Amino acid sequence: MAWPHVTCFGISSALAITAAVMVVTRRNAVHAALWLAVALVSTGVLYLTLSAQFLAVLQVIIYAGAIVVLFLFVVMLLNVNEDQATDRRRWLAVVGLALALVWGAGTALLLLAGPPAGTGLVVRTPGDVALRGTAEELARAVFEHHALAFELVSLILLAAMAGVIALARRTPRGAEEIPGKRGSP
Amino acid sequence: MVPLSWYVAVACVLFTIGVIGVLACRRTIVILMAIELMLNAGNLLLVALAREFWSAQAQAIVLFVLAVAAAEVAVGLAIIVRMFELKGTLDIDEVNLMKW
Amino acid sequence: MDFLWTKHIWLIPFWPALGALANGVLIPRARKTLDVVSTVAIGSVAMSFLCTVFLTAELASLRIGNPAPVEYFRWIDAGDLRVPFALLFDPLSATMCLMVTGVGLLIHIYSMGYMAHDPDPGRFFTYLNLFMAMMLLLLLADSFLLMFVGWEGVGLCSYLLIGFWHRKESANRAGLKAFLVNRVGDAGFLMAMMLIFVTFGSLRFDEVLSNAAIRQASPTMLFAITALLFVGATGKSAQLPLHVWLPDAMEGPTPVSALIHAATMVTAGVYVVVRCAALYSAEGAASALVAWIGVITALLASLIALAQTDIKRVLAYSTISQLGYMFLACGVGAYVAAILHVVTHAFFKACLFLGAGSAMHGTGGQTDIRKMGGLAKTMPRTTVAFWIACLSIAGIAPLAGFVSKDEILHHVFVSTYAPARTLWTLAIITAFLTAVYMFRLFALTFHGDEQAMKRGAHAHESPSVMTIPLMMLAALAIVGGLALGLPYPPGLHLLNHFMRGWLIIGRHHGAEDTGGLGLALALAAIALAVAVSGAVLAFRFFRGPYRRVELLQRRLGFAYTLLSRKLYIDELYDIVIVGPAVGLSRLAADVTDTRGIDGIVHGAAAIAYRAGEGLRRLQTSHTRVYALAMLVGAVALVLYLARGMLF
Repeated sequence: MAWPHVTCFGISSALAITAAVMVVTRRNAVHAALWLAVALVSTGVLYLTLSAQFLAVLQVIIYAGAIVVLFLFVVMLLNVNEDQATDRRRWLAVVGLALALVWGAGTALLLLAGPPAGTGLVVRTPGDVALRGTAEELARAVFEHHALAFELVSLILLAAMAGVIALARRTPRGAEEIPGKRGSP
Repeated sequence: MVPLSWYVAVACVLFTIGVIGVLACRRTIVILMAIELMLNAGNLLLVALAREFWSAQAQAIVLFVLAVAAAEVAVGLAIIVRMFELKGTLDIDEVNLMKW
Repeated sequence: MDFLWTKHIWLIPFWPALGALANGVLIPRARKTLDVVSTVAIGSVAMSFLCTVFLTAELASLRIGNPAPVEYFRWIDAGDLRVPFALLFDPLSATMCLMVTGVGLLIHIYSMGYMAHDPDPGRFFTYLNLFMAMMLLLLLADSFLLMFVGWEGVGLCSYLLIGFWHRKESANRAGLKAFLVNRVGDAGFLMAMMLIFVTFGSLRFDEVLSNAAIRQASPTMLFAITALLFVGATGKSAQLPLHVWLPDAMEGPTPVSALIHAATMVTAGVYVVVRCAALYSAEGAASALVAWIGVITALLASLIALAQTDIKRVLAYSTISQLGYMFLACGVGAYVAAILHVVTHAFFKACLFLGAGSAMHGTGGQTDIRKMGGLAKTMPRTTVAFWIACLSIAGIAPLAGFVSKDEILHHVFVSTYAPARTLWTLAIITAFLTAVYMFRLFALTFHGDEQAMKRGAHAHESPSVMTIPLMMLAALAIVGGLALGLPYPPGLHLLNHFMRGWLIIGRHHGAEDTGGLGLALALAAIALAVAVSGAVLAFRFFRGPYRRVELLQRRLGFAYTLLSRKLYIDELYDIVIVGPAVGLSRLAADVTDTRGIDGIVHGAAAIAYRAGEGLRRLQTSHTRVYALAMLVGAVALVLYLARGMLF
């Protein structure tokens, strides 16, 4: 085990977990968003240790760059930082916590036990070449095997765009009350 | 080389934190963040398995997850903005228009 | 190769079918004026008539006794059941087709005048043409199955045309009655068809009606087949006990009564029996059944006709009675005589119906003969035609009715069937009654006492489009008999000559020994004397003051009531069949359906509704609860997958 790898893994995974905990526990939404950025970037570093360099770059650009900024925009736009009232359904959080722990432990157990015999999972053969995680490899995988999925994803993005525009368009308050006049700019 | 199981453990922990976040938080925007955490954990697992099985296709799936996550966040945030306009709050417990 | 009409039998039913299609569908509604639709209808029937004439001429010149059927395409090919779409144009179907298309043509022309003021001539002529097509299909079919198609088709058209004036409650009921009563007969026909297929393994005429095939069949089976076929025939031809629909069928327009319920469709039963002559000749018991049903029907119907007051009902019972004669002829094996009577009956009965229609037309729709009378002065042409037809049906020599009826009576008398004399006596009584009721009808409608004469002064003669067909039919009613069936010398009997090749199919019993010229003359003299006395008696009596008639009715008392109420057969059916059937239907509709079936359906709906009521409580709108529920599911899944490791 090469120690730089291990060190890198240890630091970034610890950082990711800490940041994730911070995301869900901060009362201030801006802080939560910032901690989310930390968590996402440290996951990106973990990708690097897994020799997925292209994905690591994407992770930083898309997640940390675009998504987190979007979150921050909205939080600041709405200007509601504090978590005011006390939770009337505390039991939900408690039960949820317990169940989530059970679920996490169970899943980890299952995953660590490895695939059950006879599921036909492809196990690498000696002749294969280890992944280097380059853009070329990824492009081959996407366009040679998942071209249709790629097109569908573009469609999903288009639909999301249209949906966001439709949702964001403000209807004038007066117009909403008059039936038949809805949607006028 | 760090063994696969370590990554699996980290991914599980991250996912569980995300689940807890969804259930315990009431502010919709934080819930959305927690969902992002879960997606991220899933991605981590995929990348780890990609290395284990030398499969570029697993990485390709991560790419798709990224795109879908972006779309989801965009729509989710738009909904949150509209919800705040209508209700004046982000508390998920206050939104009960769909009650029987 | 020369053009052979023989190969194009399909043209005969094709033209009326095309006419029905044109009048029913192709011509736009706005263009459906009387002129257009009647031209199409008459033209199509005329084309059909011409084709029939050419085909018959060719058939006669080819001198083939039994031409082979012409196969057009494979129709049904299922396992053992192979029925091609094939048509057969032999002397029998040729005669029938000539009669149907000829009389049909005249009636179509007449309809143009009769339906002139009807709001919907398009529908009328569509049905009429469809009827012609179906009737011709029935006659030309080469298998029982194809014949059944025509059989049901004419039944349908009959139903549609009886109920043509569908705003009239009574017309609807009459149509329904005709349809339902015919269903009984059709069931018989269907069962006969199944038995034929079981016995002979085929439904084609040439394979079933061959002596070789019949000889191998068991007598029991033959009896069942012939009896069931006869059940079908009684339904369509209105014989006892299924005759009840025909008098009610007079609710339809009069040309319909003339065409369908007098001249053509009702003779389909006779045609079936004659077509299956080979079967009936081989099975004595069924033939006797046919003869007895025929003669009893003839007698009872003529008795009932004596006491009816509706002009068309009298004619309807007269039709039933004449059809009885035809079946009597079939029963004693005189198939050609039966067909001859079918043809002459078509002439004079169509003439009578059209005359009655003309009289009704002239008096503004009056059908009660007690309220008619004196039409002789104002409607001379109708009167003459009606008078000729009356003479013909009453059996006055040498008119058509006399010739054919005398031939039947002669055959009955010389038949080897044991109670032939009884049959003959009943038939001659019927002949007397026929003359009586026909001249009662004629006297009351066209003559009558002074009061009646005054009533008749307001009538008017019908247009020539109606009277010319009437005249032509009257002419046929005069000469039709002698032209087709000159009794003596034997070689000049045209129909016999034409059908001689066909006749050898069956072994005919009873008709071999004619008893010589002396007997024939004696029988003819008796029949003529009976007819003349009946006619003169009735005419003189009913011409006089109506008070005398009423007095006679009172004297007769219950006997008259019995006859005027049609022997209470309708009432009997109401009690025995209609009542229980309606009761059962009520039970099915009100109890089984509303409580049972609707109960199940409503119950299922109620269960779904209640379940929804309960389950919608789960829809709390608490998103976090939903998320928790998802998590519970996920945990359960994980635990299930990890069950091997945990336990």
